[in-house]
Amino acid sequence: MPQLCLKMDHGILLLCLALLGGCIPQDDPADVRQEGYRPVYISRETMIKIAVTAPQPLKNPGKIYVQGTYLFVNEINRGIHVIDNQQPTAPRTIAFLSIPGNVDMAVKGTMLYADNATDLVAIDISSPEAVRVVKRIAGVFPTQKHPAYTNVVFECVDDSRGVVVGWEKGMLTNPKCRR
Amino acid sequence: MIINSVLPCLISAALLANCSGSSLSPKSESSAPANGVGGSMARFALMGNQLYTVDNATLHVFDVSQAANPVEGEKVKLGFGIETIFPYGDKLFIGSQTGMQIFDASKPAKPEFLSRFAHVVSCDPVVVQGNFAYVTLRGGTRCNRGVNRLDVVDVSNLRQPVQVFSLPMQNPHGLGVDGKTLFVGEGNLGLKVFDLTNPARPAQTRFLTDVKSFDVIPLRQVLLITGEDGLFQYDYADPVKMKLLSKIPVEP
Repeated sequence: MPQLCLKMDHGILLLCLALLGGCIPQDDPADVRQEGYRPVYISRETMIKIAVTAPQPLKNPGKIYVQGTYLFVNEINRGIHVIDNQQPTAPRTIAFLSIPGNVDMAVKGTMLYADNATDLVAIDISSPEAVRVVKRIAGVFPTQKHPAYTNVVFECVDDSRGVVVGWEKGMLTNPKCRR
Repeated sequence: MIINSVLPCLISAALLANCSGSSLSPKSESSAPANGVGGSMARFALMGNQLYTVDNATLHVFDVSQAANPVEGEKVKLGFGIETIFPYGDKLFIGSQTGMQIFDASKPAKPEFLSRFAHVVSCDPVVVQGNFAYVTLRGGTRCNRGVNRLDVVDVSNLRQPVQVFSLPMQNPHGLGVDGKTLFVGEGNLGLKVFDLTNPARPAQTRFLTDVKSFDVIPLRQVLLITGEDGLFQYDYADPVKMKLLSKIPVEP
């Protein structure tokens, strides 16, 4: 489900870009086209959708966390792979927790704490097939204002378009922000 | 061998006997849910009943005595470019782009600044064992103009950390220490293994160039590594002959 939502969001994003494209003539010779970073927005409504899905392949693994015989491997900005590591020779990915904007986690007993973009969430993982968000503290982490690189140009963040959960590289037209 | 395997059983039997004897007493700390273990790149750290998190400029404290109900507490301003947090004993070691900061968390809800070990601007996770902190500095696009090196800092006086050794590195990311072995992820270049017979002077014993290393956790003889190619696990019972146990590769 969350994947679907993200796709829908991308759809909306594309639509927005298409509309913008309609307003700004593409072939204006004054336009500066430059490679840089573009914020990936999601709506707050999409951001707070946390779900457990079937195991997903690792694509862009981030930090690791160990609790007992379980491993938690972050999928950068997307969520957490839950791995049964009873036998380190044969680890088994058992579920994927889809948590938009997630990069960090910690586990106390069967309670998982994670950053969900700007919010801290406590997720009860005592039954991994039916995880529950039991607490959300909104707005404790700062919003992303720039990509995590220096000497780059990027499309400035427009908070009215949603929460930034990542950055994608691409060709930008007249980028106004620089770092 | 026999003694090794029997002794723990005897000890646990004794403990069990103890437990059943005191079953009427209120729940002790040992019944509290156990905290897990993070790597040196972490921005979240559990210590007792507190969850500490760092963002770019702030240390946040959350009380998690009731695990399902974290309660936001103190916020401590840390300066800019805060990168990582590493709990050790009742101290917090915070890596930032300008240096390592040490906080005393013996009053868990109110961590208190002890000292700062300043260095050139770069990214720097930190791990600690005994009297020494191991800090990697990494330069590059995201980490300003910093240099690449491994620093050993004597923290026996927590109010006055002193650098005692430094080694040039290539592109260090996460690091982990367990007993006499220090592991340093060199990003896409591989993983370096150091012998800590002299903890103040890590001596490189291996350089595994075929495992891209971002975050590493050495725990109970199993080294966990994530990097661009996936999740790798190595047996480091003999750190000189590390054995690949498994890998979960990244799928395109």
